Amino acid sequence: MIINHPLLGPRDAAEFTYIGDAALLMRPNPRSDTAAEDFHNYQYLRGNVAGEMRELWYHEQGDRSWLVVTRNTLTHEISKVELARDVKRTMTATSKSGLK
Amino acid sequence: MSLIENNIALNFTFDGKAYQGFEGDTLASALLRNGVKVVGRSFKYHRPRGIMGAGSEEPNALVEIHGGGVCEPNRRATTIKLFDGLVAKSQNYMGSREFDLLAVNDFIHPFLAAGFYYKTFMWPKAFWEKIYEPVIRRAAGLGELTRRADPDNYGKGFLHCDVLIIGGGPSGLLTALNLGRAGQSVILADDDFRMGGRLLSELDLINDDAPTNWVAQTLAELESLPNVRLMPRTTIYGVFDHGIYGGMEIKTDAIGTSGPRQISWRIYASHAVLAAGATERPIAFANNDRPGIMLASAMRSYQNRYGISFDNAALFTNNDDGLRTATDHIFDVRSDKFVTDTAGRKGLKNITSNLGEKIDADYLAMSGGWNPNVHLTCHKRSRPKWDNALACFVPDGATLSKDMSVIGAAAGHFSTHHAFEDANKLSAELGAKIDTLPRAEDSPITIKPFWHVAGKKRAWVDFQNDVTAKDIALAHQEGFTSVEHVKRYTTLGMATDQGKTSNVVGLAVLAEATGQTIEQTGTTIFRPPYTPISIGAIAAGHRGQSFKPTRLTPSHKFALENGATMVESGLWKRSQWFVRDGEKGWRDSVDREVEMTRNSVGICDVTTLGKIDVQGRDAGKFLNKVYINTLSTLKVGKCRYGLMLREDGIAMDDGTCARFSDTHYVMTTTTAKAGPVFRHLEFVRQCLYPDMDVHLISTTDQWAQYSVAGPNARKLMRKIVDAEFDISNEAFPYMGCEQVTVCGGTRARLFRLSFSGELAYEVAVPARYGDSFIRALMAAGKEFEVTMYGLEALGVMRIEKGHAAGNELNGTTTAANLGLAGLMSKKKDFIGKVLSQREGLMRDDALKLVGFTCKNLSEKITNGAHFFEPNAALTPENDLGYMTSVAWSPSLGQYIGLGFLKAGSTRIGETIKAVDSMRNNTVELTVVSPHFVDPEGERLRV
Amino acid sequence: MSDLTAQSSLAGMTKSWEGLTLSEPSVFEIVSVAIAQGRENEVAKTFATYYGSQLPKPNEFTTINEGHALWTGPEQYFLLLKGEDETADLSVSDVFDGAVYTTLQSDSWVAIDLNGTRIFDALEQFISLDLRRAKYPFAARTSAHHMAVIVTVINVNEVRLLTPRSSVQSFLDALTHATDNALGYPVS
Repeated sequence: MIINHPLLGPRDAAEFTYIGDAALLMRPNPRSDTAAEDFHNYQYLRGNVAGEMRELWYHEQGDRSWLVVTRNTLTHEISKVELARDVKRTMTATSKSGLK
Repeated sequence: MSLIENNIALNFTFDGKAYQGFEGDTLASALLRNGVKVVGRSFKYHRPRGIMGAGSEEPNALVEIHGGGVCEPNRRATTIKLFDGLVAKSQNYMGSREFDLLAVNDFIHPFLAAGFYYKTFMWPKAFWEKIYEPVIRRAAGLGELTRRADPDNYGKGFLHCDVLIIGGGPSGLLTALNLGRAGQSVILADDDFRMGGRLLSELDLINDDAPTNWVAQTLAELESLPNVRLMPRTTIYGVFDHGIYGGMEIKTDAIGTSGPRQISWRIYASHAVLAAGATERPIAFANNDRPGIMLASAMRSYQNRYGISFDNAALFTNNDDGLRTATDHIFDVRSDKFVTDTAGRKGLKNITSNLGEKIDADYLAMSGGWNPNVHLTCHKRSRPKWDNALACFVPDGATLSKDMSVIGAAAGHFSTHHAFEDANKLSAELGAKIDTLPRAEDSPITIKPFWHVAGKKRAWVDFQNDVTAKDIALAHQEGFTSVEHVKRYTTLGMATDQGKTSNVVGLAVLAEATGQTIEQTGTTIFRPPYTPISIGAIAAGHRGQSFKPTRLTPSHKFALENGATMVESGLWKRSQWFVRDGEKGWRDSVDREVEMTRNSVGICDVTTLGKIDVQGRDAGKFLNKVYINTLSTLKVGKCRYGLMLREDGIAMDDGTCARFSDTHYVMTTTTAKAGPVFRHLEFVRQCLYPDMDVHLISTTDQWAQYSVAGPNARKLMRKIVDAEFDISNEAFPYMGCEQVTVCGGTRARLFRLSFSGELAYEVAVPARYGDSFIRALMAAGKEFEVTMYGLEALGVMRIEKGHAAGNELNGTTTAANLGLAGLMSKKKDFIGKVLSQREGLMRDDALKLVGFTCKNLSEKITNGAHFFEPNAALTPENDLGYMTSVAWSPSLGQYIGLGFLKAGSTRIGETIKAVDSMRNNTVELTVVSPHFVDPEGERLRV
Repeated sequence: MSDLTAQSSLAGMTKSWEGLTLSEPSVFEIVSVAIAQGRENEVAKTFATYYGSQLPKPNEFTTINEGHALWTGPEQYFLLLKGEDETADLSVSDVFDGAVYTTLQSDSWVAIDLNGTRIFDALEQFISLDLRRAKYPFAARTSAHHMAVIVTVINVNEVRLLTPRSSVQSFLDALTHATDNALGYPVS
């Protein structure tokens, strides 16, 4: 596969390590009353997506940046690649402002 | 006409007999020219077989190539370019090719029909393992392995282009010319050693001239274009995601020559053109597998390209294309003339027709129609569709990958004119200016779909796996109606030729049996590789010592000079122990290293432990997130131990952090976890807390780091650390760190850390000084009888101290198991905190790390042993834990162990039983504190 | 004057094939520079003033007045500085007055120079990047045979590779194997 790195351009997937669902970006609030269940879900429960999915890839043999790759698990087509930190910042901003 | 260079003779042997061929021959053409009819024996029935095809579709002529004491089995004689000195052998017989003892299988064939091993050889049950299976195993299989190492060298590479053209026939060549002239970067690959495809084997003129002249002119121009790369003998074997293609290039088939034998290429192309042509089908009729019976297109190749004549030949065809073959007798299905039987076991003798005639013939050409080579279109899930008029499968444009175009015969456009038209049309679409359309034949396709002459005798469909029309009918009769099931039950299409000549005939026969159409029957899917590829070329240079990289420490050379025995520690080579004169076994060395270190001073290379530079205003805050204890409160000039958990509460790694300034920490990790921990830290930094001001970089290789340990460590270090730095206990106590200079001004970092439990320093210098520095340290230590110590002694000492290491941080243990629950901060959040508090991990009887000694000192503790109450039955319910680390302790003069025992910390002094079922060792042990030597840690702090 | 002697991993190695020579360049220092959050503009200005060049963009290899620079990651760079100075990271840090975090990296990496007309013929059996069609001067970090490599292409006939020190022998073996395969065996 080829991952089109937002800063470097296309690179072979062999340069990357895949970790899984980008849901890992949303680490739950440890102080919440439901923290135990939230962390259990965060750690163990995953959707088994047949279609477009957002995944976390680490450019281990490149610039060491973490990326969020939007990839179709059936066709392998990659439609979007973003820096994970940008995605995380947007998620944080969104949840802070109360918008869904 | 012939493309053979008659002036260059090549000598080769086949089954020990010497023959001669010429430059431009394949092994197959040379054998045919030399009148060799039987080239092998069929897989199951061991029937004599001859050459049927002229390319990779060949099902019969499987040979072994020998050289350098090794052999490469299962090569098709049709795809081996003849070279001088070739030694080839036929396969699959017991006795000889001409007289195969296993030919008895042919005579008991009714018992060997499809799926026979599910139906016969079932009784008596005991006979299967001892008699039937070994016999069948010996009789089965293709080729033999020499079990010796491959003496050849293989390569692996990466190519980039705008357009990859797969196939160097008329449509591929013209496309390459158009795009090459337009300045695009083009790769043109063809599996043959000559480009030209069918133009090398047919006689129809192009621009009123021999087709080979058009090929030669086109190739000459392509060779002159710097943006065009011609790759003959290169099979594009697979289509992968995102425009990545796998190519296998054969440099030579000779074994044991210098230079790479094959190169496997990963090709990145913006667009691919499948111009792979088509493969002819046989017709299934009784005894259609005799030597001398071949595909009509193959006969024409041997006639026109290789200059071989076939006297007394007949033709059996269902279409006009077959009629291009020069033969003496024609059986045309459209005139209701069929071949119903043949005779001549070691070579065709005569043919029987449906009109009852028996005609003498030495050769029979079969033409059942052509199958476009659509295989590569299927690698990304497109399924070909059936074309009734053409009676073949063609690519399905609707599901084809957008970055692949199919042209020429591969698209079902069979005439040369149509191939050229396709090429120009596509080239224009891809942005090239089109100059000319070469003039070529444009014969219409006239075919009567006809697959199989009905009859009682066996009619072969899959020649390589010996699958006949009867087998397919039988499979259907037994309830296997889906084409996927029929394939697997009969093994149709599953041989090394991957069904190139058998798939379509087979499913047509199945369709007839089920009464469905071919469309309704469907087809099985094609997967990479298109032809068999060698694992040697996929591995390329990654063999033996080069299988993975080797990492060496800065003291490696010095260590070898001093008797080090090396051990692999992940990718690293580390000194395990250092052998001195007179030492006989490893225990002699290791025990001595421990004793000398604890009594005076020892030095160990600890460069391999991960070192990570953590810098930033939020460095402390960041470290607080990853460690269970607090690091932000660490003072400048101090070190602190830290334990890191996974988010699920399991211990990930431990290490020490040293703080050099408000914004600068240096973290260590274990050797094995250096990579994974760095990845984890970057995840936390970028994915969880992107707004923290913190940066990370690995400095493992940057600093050569040595541990200097023992009561005389400070005395040694005083000779090394420059005088202006006070390293007295008062000025530089335990767990301090400082930037210093050594040996007259070389920059260094000094840490007072101790894994051994002795007074110890770790000292780091830039790795460029690593070799020089270890020599200086050892010279300075000579007066104290300094010893180098290795991984084993390091391990013994940390076990004596009860320090957890990789054996204890095994991916299942928690801080509580390790006895470090007290280190967990109650105030701050950290990775793993919430899930570490799950009920199951906090039980009263949870495993706890404790120490063990033998009750009977003459006994031995073995690692991995499991614990039970002394009189308990050995059941999983009674299992109380397991041993993780064991050593002979020179300091105590006995075996000691560390392990996890349920509620261990409350059982100090008690007796338990340790059972090692693998090594048959059961001992009674006393549970003790894991800290065997200097439990108060006094020696550390002097 | 220190008693210790610095040693390179390659001990002045050179190797030649028809069209390609491998050699070890003269010593230079590598300093990793990471920009503190919020101080990106300030650093860009200081860099331009002090080093006489813009901060390099991804895939660029720029010349600065003390050597070269390349981008290694978001807000991270390598400065390759001429001469021998094992405290170069401290000097660079002083230039930026706390706005950057520096680390010495010279000993983590070994440099190998490739010169000749057939560099890319050899490297196509080694590195997966499209070096022939890259825009020069080019720099990128990738991997070759499971080892990290920073490829810097100055021009078509001049390439410098950087690879981690501890695995340099394996790296050289792999590079030599690829070059032997592509160019035939070495002439010296």
